[in-house]
Parts: sequence; C-alpha cells; structure tokens
Amino acid sequence: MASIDNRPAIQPSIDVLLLLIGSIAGLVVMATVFSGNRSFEEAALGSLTAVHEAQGPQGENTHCQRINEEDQTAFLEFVSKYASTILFLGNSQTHSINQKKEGEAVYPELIQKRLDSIAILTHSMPNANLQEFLVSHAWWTEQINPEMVVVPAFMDDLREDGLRGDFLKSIVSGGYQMETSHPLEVKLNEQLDFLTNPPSEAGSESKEQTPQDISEAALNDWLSEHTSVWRNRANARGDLFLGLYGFRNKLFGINASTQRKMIPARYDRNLKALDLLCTRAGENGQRVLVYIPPIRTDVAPPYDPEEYLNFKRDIESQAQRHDHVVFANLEDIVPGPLWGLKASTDGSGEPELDFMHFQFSGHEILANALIPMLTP
Amino acid sequence: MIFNSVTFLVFFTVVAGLYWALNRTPRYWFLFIASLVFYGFWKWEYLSVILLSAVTDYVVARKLDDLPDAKRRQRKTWLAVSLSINLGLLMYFKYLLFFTENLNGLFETLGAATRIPYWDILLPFGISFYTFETISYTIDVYRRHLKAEREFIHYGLFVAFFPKLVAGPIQRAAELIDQLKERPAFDAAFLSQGLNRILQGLFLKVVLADNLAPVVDEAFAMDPGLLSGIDVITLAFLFGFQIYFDFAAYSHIALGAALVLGIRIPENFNYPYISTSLREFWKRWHISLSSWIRDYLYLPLTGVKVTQSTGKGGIGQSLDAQPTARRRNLALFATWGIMGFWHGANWTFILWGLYHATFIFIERKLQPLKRFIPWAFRPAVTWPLTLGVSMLSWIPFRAESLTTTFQLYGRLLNPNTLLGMGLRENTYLVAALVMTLFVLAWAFAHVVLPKLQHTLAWYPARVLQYTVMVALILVFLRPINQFIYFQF
Repeated sequence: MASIDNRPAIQPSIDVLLLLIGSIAGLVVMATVFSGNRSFEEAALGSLTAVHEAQGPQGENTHCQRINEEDQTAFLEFVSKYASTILFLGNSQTHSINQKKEGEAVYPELIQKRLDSIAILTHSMPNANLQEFLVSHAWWTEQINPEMVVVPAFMDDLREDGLRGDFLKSIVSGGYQMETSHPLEVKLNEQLDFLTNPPSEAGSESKEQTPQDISEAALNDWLSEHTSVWRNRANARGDLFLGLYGFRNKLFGINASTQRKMIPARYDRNLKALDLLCTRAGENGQRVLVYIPPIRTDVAPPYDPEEYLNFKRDIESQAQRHDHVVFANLEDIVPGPLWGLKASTDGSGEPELDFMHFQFSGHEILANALIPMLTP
Repeated sequence: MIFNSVTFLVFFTVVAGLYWALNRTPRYWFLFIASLVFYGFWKWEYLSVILLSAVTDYVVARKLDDLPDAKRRQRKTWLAVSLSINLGLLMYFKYLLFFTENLNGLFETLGAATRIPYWDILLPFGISFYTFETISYTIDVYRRHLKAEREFIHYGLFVAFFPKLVAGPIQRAAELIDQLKERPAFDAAFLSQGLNRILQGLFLKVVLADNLAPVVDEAFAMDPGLLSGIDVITLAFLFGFQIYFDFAAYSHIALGAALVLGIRIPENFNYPYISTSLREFWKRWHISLSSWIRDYLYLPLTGVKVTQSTGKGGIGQSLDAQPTARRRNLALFATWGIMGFWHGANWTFILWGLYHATFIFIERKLQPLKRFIPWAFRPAVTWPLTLGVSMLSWIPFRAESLTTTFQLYGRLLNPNTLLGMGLRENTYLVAALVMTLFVLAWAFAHVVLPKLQHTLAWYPARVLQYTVMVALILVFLRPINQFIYFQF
C-alpha cells in the first residue's frame, strides 16, 4: 500500500495496532510512573524536611499556605479573641522543620505560646516572593488590619516573580484588587484580574463562558471524579518537572550549594514590592519588622558573595527609609549543626546541605530572636 | 472549539465514527453541520460571517463562470462584489480598531478635536484564513483556472471543513472539492497516518509549546532596559520555537483529522529552521500562506501573468515572464508589508513583514557572492545566518509595540549592552535544549528513521514513541493557551 507521507509503507493495520498498544502503554505509564501521589511542594521539599503549620493555643488554625475560605473564617474567629494581631509572612522556612520529631513546632507557634495576648497569624508560601507578600499583606489588612507585619527577605525569594493563584485562593476567587498608586501595584492587579478571570478556555478574551468552556469543565469534572489518573495530573506534572530538574542538576553538576545569580528585573520588582509593603503598612498605622532570615553561615552560601552583600544592604536601606519599620539581620543566628541535610538533587545520591530549612532548635532560636522586636 | 481539549477529542471521535457510518451524500451534510458546530463552540453568532462569505462566493463564482469572457466588465464587477464583501468583513472585524486608533492619533497630533468613536469588536477566529480561501476560489474562477462548483455542499465544506477552518492550512478549492467528488473510501493507511499526525500535533502543542509559553511571556514582560543582547537573542529563539511548535501542532492536527476522514489537506511546515536561505525558509514555513501570497499578490504585483495555481510554497518565484528588477523589488516590499498586516492589525506586524522583505532583498543582492564559498561549506555559513535572521524577525511579531521592538533591537546593536544575563538560568538552558532537540529531530527523521523503517526495531520504536507521546499528552492536555495563530 502506498504511503501517504512518502515514507516506506508498513502495513497500516499493524501501525494502528502499534498505536493502540502504545496508547494503552502510555496510559499505564501515566498511572504508574507519573502517579502524582505527592504534591509538587512536598516533593520539592524533600523527604528530610516535614511541613508543620503553626497552631493556636487550643489547636486553632492560625497558619495557612493557600488562604482558602476555611482559613479566612478560622483566622477571623481567632483574632476576635485578641486585642492585637501580628501577621507573619514567610516562605517554606516558616512552615518546615528539618528532621522533625513528634511535638515540635515552627517559630510562629513558639512565639504564640510566649505572647499569649497577641494573635499570631501566618501566611507562608513555598518560594514566596515579595510581590506575593505585598498582595497578601494588602488583603489581610482589609480583613484584620494587624498591628504589625513581619516580613522575611530571603535572597532566594528575590529570584522569584509574579503571583501564584494557588497560594492566594480567597484573594483571587473574591476578585480582590489592591488600591494602587504605583505601576507595580497596577501590574499586580492585572495579574490578580487574570487569575480571577482567566481567559476563556476556548481562547476568547471575553469573560463570558463559551460552549467550549462549559463542556470542557463538565468533561474534566467527570474525568476527575471517575479516574484517579486524571485527578492526579497536576501532581504528575510536578513529578515530571522535578525529574527534569534532577536531570538538569546531574548534567550540569548543580546542587543546593551551587551559586545562583540574582536576576536583575525580578530583584528590582521584589525590592519595589518591599518598599510598597512598608509604605502601605505605614498608611494603615502598622509597624513592620523586616529581617534577613537565618542561613547557614558555617559554609559559603550559595550566592555570589558581592551580590549577597549588596542584597543585605539594599534590604536594610529599603527598611530604613520608613520610620515605622524595624530591620534585623538574623542571618547567622542558627549555628551550622542545627541545619539539616536534604535529599540529593544532583543525582549523586549523596545528601546535600539544606540552606533554607533548619531543625526545631533553629526555630526556637529564631523565635527567641524575634520576640523582643515584636512588642512595642 | 480548540484542538487541545477533551471536548475536541470527544467531538472528533463521535464525528469520525458517524461520518464513516453514514452514506456518502448525508455524510457530507453531516460533516458540514459538524464543522459549523465545531466553530459554534467558540461563538455561534459568528457562524453568520462564515456563511455570508461562503454564500457570496458561491453565487459570485457561478455568475463569473456563466458569463462569457466577452462580458469582461460584468465579470470584473462580480469579482469586485466578492472582493469587497470579503475584504470588507476583514476590514471591519480585524482592522477597524487599528485605523480608528491611528486616525485618532493623527487628529490628536494635528490638534484637531475630531475623534472617531471606538467600536468594541471581537475578531472572529479564522476570518483571515477562510476569507483568503474564498477569495482565491473566486479569483481562480475569474481567471478560468477553475470551474465554479455547482453543488453547494461541496463548496460549503471547502469553506467550513473544520480541521482547517480556524488556522489553516489555507486550502485551494480544487484540492478539496475534487477529493469530495471522488468520495474517498475508508482507508486504514489514512487512519493510522491521521492518528499519528494528531498525536504529533497534540504533543507539540501541549507538551512543548504550552510549556514554553510562560517562559516566553515572562521574558517579554520584562523591562527591555534590563536585558542584554544575549537575552534578546534567547527571547527570539524561544518565541521562534514556541510559535513553530504551536502553529505546526495545529497543522499536524488539522492534517491528521482530515486524514482520518479520508481527506488530504496540504502540508504547512517542513522543518523551517534548517533553511539555508530566507527563500527556503518561506518554502518550509506556513507553506500554504506563502504560496497563496505568491499566486494572488506577489506575482500579480510584479506584472507576471499567472497561468496556473500550483499550490506549492515559496515567495519570490516567477513563472514565465521576467519583470524588471525595480518592479520585483517594489512588489517584494509591498507584498511583505501586506503579509505582515495580514498577521495582525499592528505596526509591529508591518515591521515584521518589511524586515523579511529587507533581508530577502539583501539575500538576492548577495546571491552572486555564494560562489566564493566552497559548495561543501555553504550550509555552515548560510544556515546560521538564515537561522539568526529568521529568529530575530520574531521580535516585532511578539513585542507589544514598536517602542519595545526598537528597545529590544537596541540592546542587540549596542556593544555596551550585548553581553550579560538578565534572565533566569533555565531560560538559556531551555533555549539551547530546544534548538539542539530540533536539529536532532530533523537528523532522526531524515537519517535514522528511513533506515529503521526496514528493520524489526521499527515496531518497538513505534510503540515506544506512542507510549511516551500518549503519557505526556495526557499529563499536559489542558486548553490553557489558544493557538497563537487563532488571533490572526
């Protein structure tokens, strides 16, 4: 039989059979190799570090990563019991304990236990950036108007950019828009609007739903309800990307200790976001604590030394521009032995230094260092 | 309806099944209605635009066919009616806002108080494609290259045939209508090839293009002042591959879906980035558009009488007569300006067109120098040059404005901003990886595959290919991004 693409023909029915076999094998591969049983964040954190969200004295929900409606309700109820509130923003350092043991807690929970007259609320997002902090802060200000905001400025997080709807769920679903006077806020509002009203799945720029949107949503719901393979696709994508990162690391010999460069555009936007956050906090009568968080100092940090020095100077000078902002450099308060290891990321199988997540004792040290700066 | 969706997979399975289950005449009516449903899944209101364009040209073509050559004036009038309606639709839906904005800008510059009110008009998907198809049909009938189709269902299907309705390939009437008249029978070879092409297309779209999109979007959203020349080159390459994967994906799925229905539509891409000249590039990129532009715009502008409509790609070919160099050059720049404007109602697209015209012009002028390069070394010189020029052409195509375009080119041309890395490390890695994979894929398809096909290793290799593709398509299949060419 003649081939229709000028390639030597093989028996077409055999090719259809091969396609069928390949498709079934593809389904099996997807269901097994890309099982997607772990979330991307959990997988990225590694097996040596555990997630722990801070709780109130009665086990109340006082810490969230995604701000959903449940968190919102619980937080409002919690703060109603207290005269004042402090909002902690953070990244995975705030919700993770390296080599966690039973009964151990993260620093916001330890602080809550010591400051029993103040409600401590925490919103931490893995790999958070300061633009996300700006949005989160603006929204929580409308909800609870905390007396104080605590903002860690990680060098790593200034390499991140943009808003992730997944970690700002209630903000996005409610169609929230910040009050703006700066182009960065305008840009972030545009991103929020995009997350609230994503372009129609059929590609229309119109906000109204097309028949394609309706059918696609119905089919996706049905498939998610009836097949775990379909339901786990987001995590499967995460697994796949982690695998690719691992492959990249192996190929280029990248590991947790490898120096990473600052990305100028992202760095500038995040610095501006910090400045705006401090300004908005001041306008609302809030105090702000900006701190350089702990990092391993017994070994060379994974940054260009000059860039890291400039980063610390930039954060400090940003903070010092505002009277209501206190700055603290806490980079060296957690000694080397209290940090942990993380699973190999370069394919060597050898555990690597974890520069972000310390053990419980580190949380105690950080809590002790922060407490004196939280009370007026 | 968009191809990269579960909705399409369900729709296509049902349509293909019923299509082959029906007898031949009802089959075509069914396919016509299915095509309208396909389009209506986006906006059913806009079906009227397609039907208006189709009915106009069906009626006009019959008139043109019936009128003898002696009634030249009447024939020209009918042709003008068709062109006015088709180009009028295009003008209204696609270009009205552009002209309004520019006229208002001009009034403001001149200090005039007059302002033209803005109309909120949604661009119907695929209008540039199906109007070009209907225009070419009428012109072919006018030129007597083609007899007018008497059966509306054949003509209606030529216009509305869903696999190529929204983003091509731009088909010539004879190519499709002749096949419909032949009434193709079910063929397992078509089925296997068709399914293979659909899988290839989905893979290119959902695995490659959609995953490149956020990287490209973020990079193009950056302040150009923070980018280096290397960054601009990286951006150009990344977007060059994104748009290639995206558009080639659409064409693969269109071809595949048509093949499953027993119908062939022309190829639209053939590894464009291995081209060793811009002329070759345009025989490998969006082939159906470049051949359309050649036959209905470039050659008439050069003064060459078109005696046939070949449907093969390439711009700048002449048939028999040789126009003067001046006229050829004028035609070249006019054609490319219009071609750019066809892509989008923005000055950036016109600049993109003129960029290509300029480099094709330079290429023509430098042609004699080629003989100084030993034959064996020519590709080593011409391939990187062509690749660089074609990739950098994507800057105005993707940039938001002319200002951004010139800022980005400025970073490239200024020696002080040439070096430096302002993007995330992964961005450079992805660009290098994609380029390498593209070259390897070409080598595999042209060197390894022909040998493999005659061995037993072919069978496990094929199964492995399908396994990987199906698994990845299932993981990534989400209609998160429309095809880039939908907006044109």
